[in-house]
Amino acid sequence: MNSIKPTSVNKTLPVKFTGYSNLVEALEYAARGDTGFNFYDGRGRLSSVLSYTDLRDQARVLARRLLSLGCEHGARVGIIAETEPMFHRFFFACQYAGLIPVALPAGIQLGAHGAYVSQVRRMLKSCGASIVVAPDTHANFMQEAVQGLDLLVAGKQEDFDALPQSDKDFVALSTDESAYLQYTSGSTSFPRGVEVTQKTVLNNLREIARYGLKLDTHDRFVSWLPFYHDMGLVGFILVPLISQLSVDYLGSRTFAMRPRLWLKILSENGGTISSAPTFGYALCAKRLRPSDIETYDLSKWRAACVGAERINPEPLQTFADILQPSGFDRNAFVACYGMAECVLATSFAPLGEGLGIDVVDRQLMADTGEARPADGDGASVSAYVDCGKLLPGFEFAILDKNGNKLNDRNCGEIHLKGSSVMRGYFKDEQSTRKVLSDDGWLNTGDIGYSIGNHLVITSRSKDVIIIKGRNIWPYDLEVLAQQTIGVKLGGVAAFSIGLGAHEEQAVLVVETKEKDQDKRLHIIEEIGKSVHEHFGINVLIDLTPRGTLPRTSSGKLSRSQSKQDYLARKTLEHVEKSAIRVVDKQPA
Amino acid sequence: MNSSTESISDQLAELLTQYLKQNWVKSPLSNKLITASTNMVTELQLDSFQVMEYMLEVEDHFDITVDLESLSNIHTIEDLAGVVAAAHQE
Repeated sequence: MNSIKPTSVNKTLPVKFTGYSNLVEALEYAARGDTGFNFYDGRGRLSSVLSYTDLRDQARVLARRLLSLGCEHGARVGIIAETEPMFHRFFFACQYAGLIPVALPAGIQLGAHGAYVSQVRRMLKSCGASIVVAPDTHANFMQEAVQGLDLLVAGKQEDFDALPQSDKDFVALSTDESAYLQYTSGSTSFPRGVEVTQKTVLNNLREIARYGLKLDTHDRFVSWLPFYHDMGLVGFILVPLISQLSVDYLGSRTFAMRPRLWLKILSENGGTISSAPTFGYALCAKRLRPSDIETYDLSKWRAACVGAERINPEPLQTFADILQPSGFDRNAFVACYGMAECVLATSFAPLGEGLGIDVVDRQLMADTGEARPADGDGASVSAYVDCGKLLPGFEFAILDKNGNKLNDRNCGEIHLKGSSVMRGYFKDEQSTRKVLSDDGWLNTGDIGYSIGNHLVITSRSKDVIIIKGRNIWPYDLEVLAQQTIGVKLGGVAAFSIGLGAHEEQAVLVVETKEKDQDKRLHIIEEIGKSVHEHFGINVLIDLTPRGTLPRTSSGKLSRSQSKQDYLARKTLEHVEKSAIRVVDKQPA
Repeated sequence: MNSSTESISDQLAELLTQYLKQNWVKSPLSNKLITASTNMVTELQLDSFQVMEYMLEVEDHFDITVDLESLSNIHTIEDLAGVVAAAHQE
């Protein structure tokens, strides 16, 4: 029978958010207490416990083994980031050994063997990894991904545990050196790794802990977010670390299969802090059974953070309604805004106040970009969620197309400057220059407006297509489509259209000269199959004759114009179809 | 395909048909028969969460666990039937 017990809340150690020059020092302090990390299996049973003390001891030993490999200070270590204690051990062993950890994706879609292997391979090449480690479940995928790459070692955990311990002194990563590389959930064809320094990560952790969440000794974290996403890694490994708090983990795949386990663990362990993108709350609400609701006690859950995509209030309100009998407080919702380029978070809505909804005139906003408060509901208004004040280390500017500062309640591009803005993308000067100015302003690419010192986000990253929490770059879809026979290079436009109130549908408009009906169908099938294999999403594919996609004067394809043309075409088709139906009804 | 995977395929197809019905999944195949050769990746247009939900039903129904490597190589109902049959033989 299972006799292990999860780590408790912090009962002994004074809370200390500051005074560290790197993550090693933060771990050394936390290791003096009795808190730590708890891992739950696919049935929601506690499967392993890793206290900060054990983590410190194990990471030190593993660091000595890694040092025996003789790689240079600052070499990159790819870790396939499954929700297992192994990830923490390797991540912190790197910190002690002066190596830079890189979390690699662990999620694999149905039938996506090849796509997954090539994704991992591209990331390993991008970061120039010297070492890669994978959990047993991913070992074969890893071996395929590293074929022909110039690596020192690629192995399983046990392979590293068999290495001798070096007696060299640790030279941990210093405050201006990297803490880790964070691959953004962006383009998979051209992966970009944000270089997160020790200083920037510690700055953001301190501000999140002190001002964003106002953490205290009785807090407890619960998470199912993957460690290869910034919200999982920073929000649920590093923020707890710097606050000396305990965390309970559920695997992401387990959550996808049994989302109710999330609430069960929150209830049983008295979790106070847990985050998810909107779709996580929606999925959970959909699969709840009425009989579960009475058995949960969610009254301690004081910060239910929502972020990672534009926040849709409706599914969150449904979640709160359904779980009211479990003691869930709708005021526990905390809207957040952030990005890997700023470590994790830049703004938090005020704690304990729930979602602040700003209702504005939809037509005026579409025509002029002004977000004027409006009464009423339905089609004439749009509702946006207030993402709160920026953390103290940050300032924002909202700029129009020409770079002019906009006044309150006018939509523009959000620029941020502050204490945890990245130094740049790893070895990618060109991409860095595109988003980061010489005086430290980051162009987030997100669109929004301000109300006093509060930020409201109206759309994330102009072009990005967000489906169920996944960011998909149109460029990646276009590249895939262009690999299909019969499709012209540069003759594809990808964008998303609204599907119902809050869902998005990806659309690909594809130029082809093919007229044969069977061959046209074949093109559509091939592209659909390829996109599904690589991204696990469905696309609408619209074929159009060559030379008909709109281009700018410089010959660049215009996605926004393509979208408008597409919508106009569809509306026309709809009108024509209705017209035919009316005609059909006429008596002969 | 031997007789046991054939019968497993039939059960999987039935589970999937029920799943699609219960979840109002709009699918190009919703009016067609789901068979052993139905490609779950390309023909059914299930998103990744729906796939996991269906896989959970399959795992519970047959009392097996589908590992990641198998999952990554499954395209058709018949592929899945092969995985289920292999798990049963272990």
